[in-house]
Parts: sequence; structure tokens; C-alpha cells
Amino acid sequence: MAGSGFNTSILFKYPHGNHVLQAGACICFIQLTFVWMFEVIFSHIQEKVQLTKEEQALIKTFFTPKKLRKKQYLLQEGDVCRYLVFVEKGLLRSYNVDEKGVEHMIHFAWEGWWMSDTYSFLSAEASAYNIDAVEDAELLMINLQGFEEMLLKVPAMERYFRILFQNNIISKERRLISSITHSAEEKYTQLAAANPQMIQRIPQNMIASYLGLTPETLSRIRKKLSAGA
Amino acid sequence: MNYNNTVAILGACNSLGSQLAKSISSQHQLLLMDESQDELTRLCGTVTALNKNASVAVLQCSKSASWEADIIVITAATYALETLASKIQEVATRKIVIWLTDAPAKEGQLQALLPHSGVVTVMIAGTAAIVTGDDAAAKAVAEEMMQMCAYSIAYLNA
Repeated sequence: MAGSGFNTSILFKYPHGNHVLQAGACICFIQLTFVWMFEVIFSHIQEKVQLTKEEQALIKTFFTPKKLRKKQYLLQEGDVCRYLVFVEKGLLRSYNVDEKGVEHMIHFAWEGWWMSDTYSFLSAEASAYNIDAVEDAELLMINLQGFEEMLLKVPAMERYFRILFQNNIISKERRLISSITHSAEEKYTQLAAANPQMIQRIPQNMIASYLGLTPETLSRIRKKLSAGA
Repeated sequence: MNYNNTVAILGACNSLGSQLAKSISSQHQLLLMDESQDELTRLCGTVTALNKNASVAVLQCSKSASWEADIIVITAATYALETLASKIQEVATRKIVIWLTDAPAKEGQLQALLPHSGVVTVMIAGTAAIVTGDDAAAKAVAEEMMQMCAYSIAYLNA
């Protein structure tokens, strides 16, 4: 897959992944009360493929549940990325730090998204990225051995991941085109339209970095847009 | 210190748990779990006094501690094992679980209760730590920890 363009981190969007946290206050409380581990991931999977109860039970045995505290690392640059990670709750970011110590955001992942450094995960080579928690997070992690075994034993999961990888390629192409053809303002407005949750949850300096802008430029754009609204 | 090396010690305030906490705090992030908040606070103070760079958190819920951990150490007595395993089973999948005991332990007892975890039993006998279990990664981790506690290692089925 490295030759197919999966040489950086992956991020797959769950279209309805934010339903638990974005619902109205009362509904939100009721939904959160009944959220159980694997609820978000199985909703995500069953948007794309159907699973039997037996397959769901089997899939559960391949994932390691893990809680991560805010600012805690999941992966540090120079280490091998051992897991594909699904976010059941919370917010992760992947980023690179340059020689001057400046952080460059690569991806964010919240409820219903996957996060990893796919190249490092598949090749067992050192990662160039850091992944840490922007908010306290509840994760489901699968290592390469478990991943391969799961795909063999549950063929529906192979189809699921093929769909995700396809979506990921499209997403990367769109981001590349946006970065080379759109103005700073266009980049921001498109991001805000496509991912309103991102604008609400993620600190502005991280969004600026993600868009390849300085925080000052992003601040000017936001002021201009709010003045024009 | 490795970033993905968080160890939960369930029953951290008994002699085996506290000895382990004090011995491995330079190499692992610690989640100390026990019933008494006062004793946990005292142990946390002792560990941080011994190692000012120690990363230690205290919890009173075995499931929360196990959920957050990469490695789970249990110091419970045999009679309490089944109840404890049922509490943590859901969050211990594919994690290393070490049962640390100073009483004779039935081989495979905890592994049967946690079938999707890598379980190893460490029985302390004098200055020796007798390690049993089928999971190679769990054995390696248990051996490293016991050496940090200055025990000599013995494998029952070696």
C-alpha cells in the first residue's frame, strides 16, 4: 500500500461520528449515558458493511481498549507506530516538529475517525510523526498482527478498510489541490463548511498550522468573515 | 521512559504492590489502584520521594485503571481473582496482565478468566520470582519488572 500513496498518516471520517456530542443538551446526556465501548466503531463499520453478531464478537477480541489523558502521547517521532487507532471519544492530533521546534499539524481525529501513521504501521519503520491527545480520549487500538488476522477471519472488514482507504486517497487529493490552488480565506471557509466541529473543538493555532497559515493570518481571516457576516 | 508503558497496579498498597511501584517508577508511568485513598496518597508520596521524575496517578476503580493502562498488575488474593477479572475483562483485551502473588497459585487460573489477555503469573518465594504462563511478551515484561525488584527469576515450565 505504500506504493499506492499510503505513505503518510491516515484519517477516515465517520459521517455521523459527531452525533453523540453534538446533540442537544438533554439528548446528549441520555445518549452519553448509554454509550458502550465499541458502539461508535460498530456504527461506523455498519454504515459500510454488514456484520453478524458473531463477527462483532470476534472483532472485539482484536482491539485493545485504551484511555489517553489530554497531552499524553500515543506515538512519538522516531518510534514505530504499532497500532491503527479508532477514536470512540475525545480528540487526537498527528503532527511533525521541525528543526526550529515548530509544530506542523497533519491530521485530527475525533469520534468516529481512525488515526495512525500507516507507513510506519505497515513497514515497522520509525515514524516521522507525533500523535497525542488534544482532549481526554477513549480509543480502540489494533496492532498489525491482529489487523491481518481480523481481515482473514472477517472478510467484511477487508471490504470496510478498502472503502476507507479509497476515501482517504480522495481526501488527500482534495487537500493537496486545496493547498496549491486556494487562497488562505478559501481554505478556511471550506474547512469550516466541511468540518464545523473542527473549528469549535480545536485550538485556533492548531487549525492555522493545519491549513499552513500563521495564527495571525487566520485571526485576520476570522475577523474579516465575522465582520462580513 | 516509554510513552506507551503505563502500568496499573491493582492492589498497590499491599507489600507486593508497593514494592513493585517503588521499584519500577523510573521506567514506567504508574496508575496506583487500591481501596484506601489515604494509603494510596501515602504510597504516591513515597514513590515520588524516591523518584522525583516519577509519573504517578492514583485511582480507586480497577476498571478505569486497567482501561488506561498498557500493562496490568494484579496483587489480589486467589479468592478475589474471579470478581476482579470480571470487572476488568472488557478493558484488558490484548493487554499484558501479571498476577503477582506470594501464595501458591493455580497455573492458568487467571488466563482462563481473561482469555483475550496475555496473562502471566509471578509467584514470589523468598528471593525468587517464579514465572508461569504461555504469553512470551508477558513473560518478558514480568521478568524485567521482577529484576527491577531485585528478585531472581525462575520459570516453572522452562
